Amino acid sequence: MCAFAHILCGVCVFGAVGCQAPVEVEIPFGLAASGRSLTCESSSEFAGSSITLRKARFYVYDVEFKKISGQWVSLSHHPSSWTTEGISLVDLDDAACDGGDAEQHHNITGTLPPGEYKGLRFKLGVPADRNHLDPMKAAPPLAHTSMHWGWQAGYRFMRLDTRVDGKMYNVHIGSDGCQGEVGAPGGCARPNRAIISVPDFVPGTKQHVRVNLSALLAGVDTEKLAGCMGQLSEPDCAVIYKNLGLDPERGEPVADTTVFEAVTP
Amino acid sequence: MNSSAWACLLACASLAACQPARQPSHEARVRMGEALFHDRALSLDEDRSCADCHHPEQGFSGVSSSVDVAKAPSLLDVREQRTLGRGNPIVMSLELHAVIPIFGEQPVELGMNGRERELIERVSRNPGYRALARRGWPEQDGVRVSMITEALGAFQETIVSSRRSRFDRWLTGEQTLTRQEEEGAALFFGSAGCVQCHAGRAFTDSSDRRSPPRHRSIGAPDPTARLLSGVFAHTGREEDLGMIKTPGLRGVTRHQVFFMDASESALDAAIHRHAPELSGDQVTRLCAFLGTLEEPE
Repeated sequence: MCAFAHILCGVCVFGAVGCQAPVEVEIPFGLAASGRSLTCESSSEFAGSSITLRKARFYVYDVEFKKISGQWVSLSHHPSSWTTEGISLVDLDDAACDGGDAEQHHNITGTLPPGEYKGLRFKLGVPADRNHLDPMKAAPPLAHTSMHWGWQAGYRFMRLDTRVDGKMYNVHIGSDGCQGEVGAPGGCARPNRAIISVPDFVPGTKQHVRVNLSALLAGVDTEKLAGCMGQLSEPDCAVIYKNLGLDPERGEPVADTTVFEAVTP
Repeated sequence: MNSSAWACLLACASLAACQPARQPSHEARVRMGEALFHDRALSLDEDRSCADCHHPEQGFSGVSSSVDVAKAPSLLDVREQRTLGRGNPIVMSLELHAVIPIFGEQPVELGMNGRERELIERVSRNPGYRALARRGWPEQDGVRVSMITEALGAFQETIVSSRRSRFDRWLTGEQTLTRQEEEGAALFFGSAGCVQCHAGRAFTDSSDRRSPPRHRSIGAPDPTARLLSGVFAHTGREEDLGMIKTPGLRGVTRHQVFFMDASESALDAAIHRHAPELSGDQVTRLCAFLGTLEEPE
C-alpha cells in the first residue's frame, strides 16, 4: 500500500492533470418557438398562430464535448433510469400538457476528463443495433412505449406533439423503410439519425440547449400543416428532414443544422 | 379430380400430431393470454378487448372498433402465416405483434401508449393473473409488461382450425360434398385460379399481393390510411403501394366484412371483385365451396 501510494504520488507530481477530478457536466434542454420558451405551462407562436405543447421527447447518444485543443471527448453518463448504454431520453413535457405525463427529464448529466471544453455534439436517435429489439424487454429509457414506433418496429427518435390553434400538429422522426425483423434488423432505407452540433455550448455555464421549433419547421406549408409521422410521402417530412441536416431520400446526415442551439436565459 | 388429389395439393400433414407436450408454464401462459384476449382492461377506457375486433365467432376477424373502416384480420391459423397483420415484414413473432394494438398510435387501437405502468397495475390487481404469472414465469416476480405480450402470443399460437371441417373430412373420405360444393372446389383449385394465392393448409401462401382495386388512397398522413396501406406502411417503397398479405380463408363465411378497408359485406361481392370475369353461377359455387371450410360447431 505504501509503495502504491508513492507511485501514485509520483504520477501526481509529474502529471498533475491526471490527479484532477473529472468535470461534472450538465446539459439542460428546452424548447422554444419564435424565440419564446414553449412548455406545458406556456404557449408560444408559430406561423402567426398559437402553439401549445402536448409531448416533447427525444433520444440522444454519442454525446461528445470538444476540448479547447480540438479533441472530441465522450461524455460518461451518470447512471439513471433515463440512460442506458450511452443512450438518453430527454422528456420535456409534464402532466400539465394534455398529452404529457408526470415524468420529466430535462438534463443529461455525466462527467468528462479534466479540461476546458467548448462545443457539444450528439446523435439524435437510437443506435441501429438497439433500435429493433423487443421494447417489452428493454431497459429504460428504451422501455417507454410512448417512444416505440410499432409499425416500424423501432423507436421514434424525436416526438413533438403540439396543437396549432387547437389543431393537432405532430412531428415524429425515426428510421423507416426497415428490413429484417425484430432482433435481426437488416438495415433501414432511411436511418434518419441526425448529427447535432452545438458549437457554442460551454459546459458549467448557465447555457442550455434549446430545440428551436421555428428552425425545425421552417419551410413547411403553414396553410396545410400536415405534420410528419415519418413517411416521405407526407409533405412536411422532407422539409423537416432537411432542416435537421438529413438527406430526405437517403436519411443520412449531409449538412449542419441549427435546430438545436445554445442559449443563455 | 377426386378428394385425394385435393389432399395432395394442400399437403395436409397433421401438425397437431407433431406437437411436443407442453410444459405447465406454457399452459399457464396460454391461459393467461386467452383471458387477456377477452379482457377490456387492456384498453384505455376499459371498453374494448382484442376479442371485440377479432371475434372468435367470426373466425377471429371483424371490423376494427377503433378504426371503423378497417377489417381486423382473421387470427385463425395465424401461427402458420409467414408474415403478420396486413403484411408486416419486420415484426414476425406473435408476442411482438401484440405490442402494436396495445400500444400503437397509428392508429390508436387499445390506446395504452405510454401507459405501460397503468397496464401492469390493472393486470396485477387480478389475483387470477398473478397466479398465472407465477406459474407461467416462475423465475420472475410479479407481473411484467413483457408477460402480457408473451401470453397473448402464446394464446394466438393456439388459435388453429380443427381440420375437421366438411372439406377436411371430404379429403379423408369421411364426408361427401354437394354437387355445387364440388363444382366450387373444381373452380377454386382449377380455372378460377384462387389456389394460386390461397394455397396451403390455412388457404394462404402468406405472400404480399396487390389488393383488388377500390381500396383507399394511401400515403396520406392519417392513421387509417397508414393502417390500410399494408406492406407500404412498413417499407415506404413505391413498389409496395397497395400490397397486402393474402388472407387465409378458413372460416371466411363467418366474416362480416371483406378486404382490409372493410369495403364489402357480402362474400359473393368480394369474390366478384377478385374475379369480375366469373359468372354469377360460378361465384355461387365458389361460395358454396368456401362454406365447407367452416369450423364444425
